[in-house]
Amino acid sequence: MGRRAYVKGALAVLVGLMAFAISQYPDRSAEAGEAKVTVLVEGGSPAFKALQKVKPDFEKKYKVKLEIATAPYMGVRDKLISEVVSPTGAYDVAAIDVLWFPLVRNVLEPLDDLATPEVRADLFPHLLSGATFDGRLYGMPLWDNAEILVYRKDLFDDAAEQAAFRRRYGYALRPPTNWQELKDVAAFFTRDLDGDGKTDMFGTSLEGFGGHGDAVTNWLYLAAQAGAKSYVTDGRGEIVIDSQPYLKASHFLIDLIDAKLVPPTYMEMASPQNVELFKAGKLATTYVWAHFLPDLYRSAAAGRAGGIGVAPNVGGAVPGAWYNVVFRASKSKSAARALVSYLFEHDDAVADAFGVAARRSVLEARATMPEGAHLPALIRTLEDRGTFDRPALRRWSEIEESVLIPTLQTILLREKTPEEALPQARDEIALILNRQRARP
Amino acid sequence: MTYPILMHHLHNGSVQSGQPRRDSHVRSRMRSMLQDRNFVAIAMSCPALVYLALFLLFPLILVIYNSFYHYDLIDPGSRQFDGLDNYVRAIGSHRFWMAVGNSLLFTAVVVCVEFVLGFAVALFIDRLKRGREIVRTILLLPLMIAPIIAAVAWRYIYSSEFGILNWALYQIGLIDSPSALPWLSSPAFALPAAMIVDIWLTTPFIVLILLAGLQALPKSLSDAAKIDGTSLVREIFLIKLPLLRPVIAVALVMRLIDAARTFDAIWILTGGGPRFSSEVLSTQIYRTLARYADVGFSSAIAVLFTVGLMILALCVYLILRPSDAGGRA
Repeated sequence: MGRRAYVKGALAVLVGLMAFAISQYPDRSAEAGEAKVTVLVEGGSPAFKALQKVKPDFEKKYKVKLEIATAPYMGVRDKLISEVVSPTGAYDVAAIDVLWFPLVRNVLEPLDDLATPEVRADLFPHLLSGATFDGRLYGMPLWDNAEILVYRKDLFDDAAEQAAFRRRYGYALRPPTNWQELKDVAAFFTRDLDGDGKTDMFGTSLEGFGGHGDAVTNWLYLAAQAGAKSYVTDGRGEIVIDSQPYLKASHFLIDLIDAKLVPPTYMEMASPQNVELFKAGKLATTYVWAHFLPDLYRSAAAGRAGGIGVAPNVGGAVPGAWYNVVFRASKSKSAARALVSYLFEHDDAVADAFGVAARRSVLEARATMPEGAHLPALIRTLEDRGTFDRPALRRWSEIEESVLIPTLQTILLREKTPEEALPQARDEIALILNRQRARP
Repeated sequence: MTYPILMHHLHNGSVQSGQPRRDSHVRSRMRSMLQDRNFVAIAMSCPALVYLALFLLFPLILVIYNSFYHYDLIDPGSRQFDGLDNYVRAIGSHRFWMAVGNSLLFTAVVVCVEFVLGFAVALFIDRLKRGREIVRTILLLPLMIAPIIAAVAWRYIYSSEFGILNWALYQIGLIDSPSALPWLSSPAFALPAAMIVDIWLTTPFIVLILLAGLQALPKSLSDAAKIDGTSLVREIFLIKLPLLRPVIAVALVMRLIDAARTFDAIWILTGGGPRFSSEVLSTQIYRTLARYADVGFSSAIAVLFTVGLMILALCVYLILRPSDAGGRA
């Protein structure tokens, strides 16, 4: 057989393989008549798990094919921005962080008709206000979340500990309800357990890690607990970061550090690290996002006598809500709306995956179950007057990353006093906001 | 030069002597074109040139173009010509110069340490009588790991609370407590921590290149040095290093460019923090573009970065390039 024959044979095999590959590819033309909804979600997130759970029933009920596109957290944000720059209709629905609304709301479909009076009555007010712009609702809540207090029940329920605490502080040992009680509890439980001169258990923790927003969230809600009525800017656009509540919150954190009531690794700490230290028995109390509780219930920490105690945050917290949105460029808007509505009705699927939910009725129903023991504390935290959203600023990411995190870290590292650092932060935020305002 | 096989096919193809004159003319033109070396060279380079124009030249021109505009990615309608404003903003920015300083420090330290370590290891492997392939393979393992994976693993290694590094240092009595060294959370340690990871990851690359250079050196020179009673140190500094100069120049220039644009390890380990203490130009460009959506400003930083890097690489190459008098390896 000649060389030419070999080449022909190889070409024939190649063409055959290509034909096979094409035949295996989904037949788009066959699906043209069938409605399809493509949803963009963070891979592995509760939204993803909830979608997977409801997919078979939804497809059967609405005769709509559901496609789930996943990306990492920042990848979802990048894809949303791509849709803003050049709306392609590639996605019909997306699950988004409340912080992203100012970036994308111009390409979103209003969903006011889905928020019936019954729906509105079943939601915490901030859940609706977080997705409302110019009087229009642009997202249906997926879940609500906040940092709540977690404590070692075995210590708090111990009679000897209770007596010793009362002797030292003159009141009953209980989950702290204000900063002074938190400081007392933290000081009481910060201990050298094995007598080697080193602290083995810390009374509480704080979050100084700058890799994501937990450190800022923690600092902001402390400012709200100290009397701040809004975060960073007030309702009129005035920057309030150097006002008294923020100074008080900063000094409170410094006090905890100076008194050595928090682990020395606080600059590496965020909610996940708090959870790990708590599991390891190195923290008597800590603040974690409510969705970490199911994991804690499954850990060895829950096996300690008395298990895990949960209490509301001492005066409100920053809510961390997520929403389902529909893109204006969607080619299957009615199916997309049906999906968003269906997911809202099946909010318990999110609760199964995440331990939290958006609807008050779902949270309340689960609060009576063992796996929902943290939900009463979450509900009370979400209801607190000190719980309100971060401002809907398009430049929030820049403000958070380039000003708030470095400022907080400067304060925690004691490189500047809050009185020195906060006015400087104010000027830097003003620069960012003015740059945006100066543009058409 | 002629192409006998090609000519043979042309002669035996569909174009025969009985075809119209036009075909004969085309055939003769094709033959003359194929006999033109320049034409063949250009034709064969065309796919690569098109690729470079599309994926290198066009983005480069676009970056330069964007750097003169205010361009908010999330509000494309706001595009507005800003002249040199983005450059003025960058040059007047404290954080830009901090990132420049960190980039220079990071690059200088990692390239120097990697070169010294890499040369020592390459010499060691070169002098091994047995097991050279096994040692070389083991030493090359870090090179086979994706930087992003390595950085995630090192993040656990560095953890002050659970990390194996601090625990090992504590166990051998070098530190008082396992949390004594805040590798990733202290402005003093964050950049050195990232340097250690980069050195661990890419020293094998230098080893590989220098080892290839060492093995290509004529053995007769080494033998002559031995007969003359030259010490190993003198042999290294007076014979091997000068002969390796062209290889070293290529290795250093490549590593210099690579180290200056390091992104993944730093981003995963420290995110440029705390307080921008480990922010380098590549993380600043990414942050400004992806997080702040400020296309114009990030483009201006990228242009300044590219120009600076080109000048730096050229200087290093000019210093290290083999002189006319020097021999080639």
